[in-house]
Amino acid sequence: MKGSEIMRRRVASGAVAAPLPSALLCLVLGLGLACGFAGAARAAGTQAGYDAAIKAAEAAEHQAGLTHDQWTPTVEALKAAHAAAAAKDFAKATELAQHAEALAQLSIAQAQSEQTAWHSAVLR
Amino acid sequence: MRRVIAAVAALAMLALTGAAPAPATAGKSNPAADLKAFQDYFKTSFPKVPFDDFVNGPYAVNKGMRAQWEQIMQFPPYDFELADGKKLFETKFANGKSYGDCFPDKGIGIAQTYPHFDAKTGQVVTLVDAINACRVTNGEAKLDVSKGPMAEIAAYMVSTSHGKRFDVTIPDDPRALAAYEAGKQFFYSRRGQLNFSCASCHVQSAGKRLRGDIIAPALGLVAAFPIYRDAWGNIGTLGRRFVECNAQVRAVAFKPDSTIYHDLEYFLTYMDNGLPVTGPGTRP
Ligand code: HEC
Repeated sequence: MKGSEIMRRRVASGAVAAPLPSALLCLVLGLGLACGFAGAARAAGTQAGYDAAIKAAEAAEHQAGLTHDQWTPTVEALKAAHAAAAAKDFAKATELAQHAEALAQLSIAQAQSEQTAWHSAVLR
Repeated sequence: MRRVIAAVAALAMLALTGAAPAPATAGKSNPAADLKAFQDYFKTSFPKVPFDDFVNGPYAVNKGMRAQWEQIMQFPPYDFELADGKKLFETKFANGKSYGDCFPDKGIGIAQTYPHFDAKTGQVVTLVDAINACRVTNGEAKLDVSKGPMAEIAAYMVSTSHGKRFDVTIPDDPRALAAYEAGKQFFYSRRGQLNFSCASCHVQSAGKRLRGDIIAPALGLVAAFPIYRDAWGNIGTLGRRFVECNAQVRAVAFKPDSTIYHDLEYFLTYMDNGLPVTGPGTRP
């Protein structure tokens, strides 16, 4: 079963105690596309456009690594972006790179928030 | 594009912090107080589970699984690997020494004190580390820390501690306390695309069902390691399980012998202090 399905099931079955605000659900499901990134202009299909997008994505993922919080879907999106670029499909490659960057940014934001938020979960 | 992302991320984070307000600032580290609160929480949440039974993870909190398990344990699936572990443990290295020479009491009945803090190096040393360090000292190559001979040797050593209780110490040394706090922070921090912490599952959802599994309570979580898992088809170490639990929330896992997993093991095993050593265990 896919993780998002697990989550949906858990939410449906009430296994997750706290109600999930919709923005959080965005983060949780991390479907950048579903959360409005799709609205960002469809990527232009040029090598230059891709180069810029992948550079930004890899920088963000590096940053996520420094916060010890990388996400596997980011890694997958980066891999897929590289594969699409290798096949000279720069429109697809650029879109995937932008998706990877969006995911990496979310993971960085998560790590930053958790820097303090974790305290409130501690059993005391 | 960047700004859109940042805005959405900020929004999500607002929702996050909004849901969990007022993070207390980190006070002074107090492992003993943490331990009491941690154990009390589970004693109160599962009043029918005898304290010692928490080492049995999912079987402690689910009757159906327990019945199946009692069947399985008539022929424990780890028996062969445990026997291999004993053999390996007793086999001499090329230089004529053996594992027993590296440990107090010849390595018998000492597993309950791991992980321990080594004041000389300032490092947290897990049993797995100590086994590899012993090999290196004696001119042998390190073993894979997830499974195979390492898990078998560790399983044997742990089995000689049956009847003893976990007795992990956090000395009053800033480096030991820092390692403990890092492990604690990792345990409670949400991570991965699914935005779960270890605690989201093993505290808040303990005893609940996730797919076919019953989620084990965090108390006793590490007490039966190494474990034979049906899903693995062999014995594995705690590091191997940490990797899986990180990956299932879509977080990039760390190396099984990474510093952060050492710290996590230090924290979790300390939380199990007082529980009986029960490894190797068996799980679905
Ligand atoms: C999405 C829920 C989830 C999260 C998050 C999660 N786990 Fe697990 N974990 C499970 C399930 C399900 C199992 C298998 C059933 C069981 O034994 O609890 C398991 C098993 C384990 C076990 C083996 C327990 C046993 O009795 O054999 C350990 C140890 C463990 N998890 C540690 C962790 C740690 C440490 C983290 C945080 C890095 C973590 N888990 C995060 C769901 C989760």
